[in-house]
Amino acid sequence: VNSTSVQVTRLLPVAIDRVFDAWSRAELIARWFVVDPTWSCRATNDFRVGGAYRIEMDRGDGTIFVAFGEYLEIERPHRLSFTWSSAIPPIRGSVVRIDLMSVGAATELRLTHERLPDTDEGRAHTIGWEGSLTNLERYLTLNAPA
Amino acid sequence: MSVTAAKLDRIFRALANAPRREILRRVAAERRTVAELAEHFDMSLAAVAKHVHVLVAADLLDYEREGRVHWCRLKPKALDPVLASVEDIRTFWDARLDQLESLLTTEATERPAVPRRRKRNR
Repeated sequence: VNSTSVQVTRLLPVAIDRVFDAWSRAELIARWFVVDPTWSCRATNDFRVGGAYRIEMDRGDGTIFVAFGEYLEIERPHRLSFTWSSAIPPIRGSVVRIDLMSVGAATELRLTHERLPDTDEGRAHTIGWEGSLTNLERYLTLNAPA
Repeated sequence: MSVTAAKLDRIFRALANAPRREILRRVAAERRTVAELAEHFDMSLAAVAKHVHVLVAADLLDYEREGRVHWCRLKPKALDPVLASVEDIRTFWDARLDQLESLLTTEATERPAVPRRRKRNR
């Protein structure tokens, strides 16, 4: 794991199928994606490879966080990956991979979020308002008129 | 890194305008005067000054006066606030996985998915 990706590991005390369901069924995603009970969350998904998903979190203070993308791999119950884009912070085309492994009656979950905008490669996938923020700083520096 | 929603709104609003993006592009490599910018855009000094003001308010542009001349320059790291740091993303997922764990654990006590192992006497 280098600085362009994030990895988080959890041991969850339930069977692997239930963890996989929590990631694949929109009504369940909407339940755990909110961190504060005062937020409301809506999730929709077309759970197949190439299908789209969208998660909207309304924080109730005018901030609506939207994440969206499409499924890249679905291998029940061990592997799931999808693209991840959000408007704020501006991320486009990053990839989230979920690896699940049974450990006795529990399940180990490993989440890897790759191609984040902290590197040049990641920045190349970063978007902004009206698409104008794409790599804007770099663009501004490199393409300044003489 | 934590940036307020209001600050992000100012940055995005400032960028959601083609002439202002062009101003940023032109002041990125070297400082330019408001008069030079006005000449390029075929805009009045007042109109350019308005755009410059929006960019300064969004913290994207540095503005200096030398006598009667007004210089503009792209602020270093001006766009960093809108880019997520790896730490932000980690915090984001940590919080979500906490919720996932609590959802799964609560449901496990309500409706056990894995039957408890019972000792049986034979």
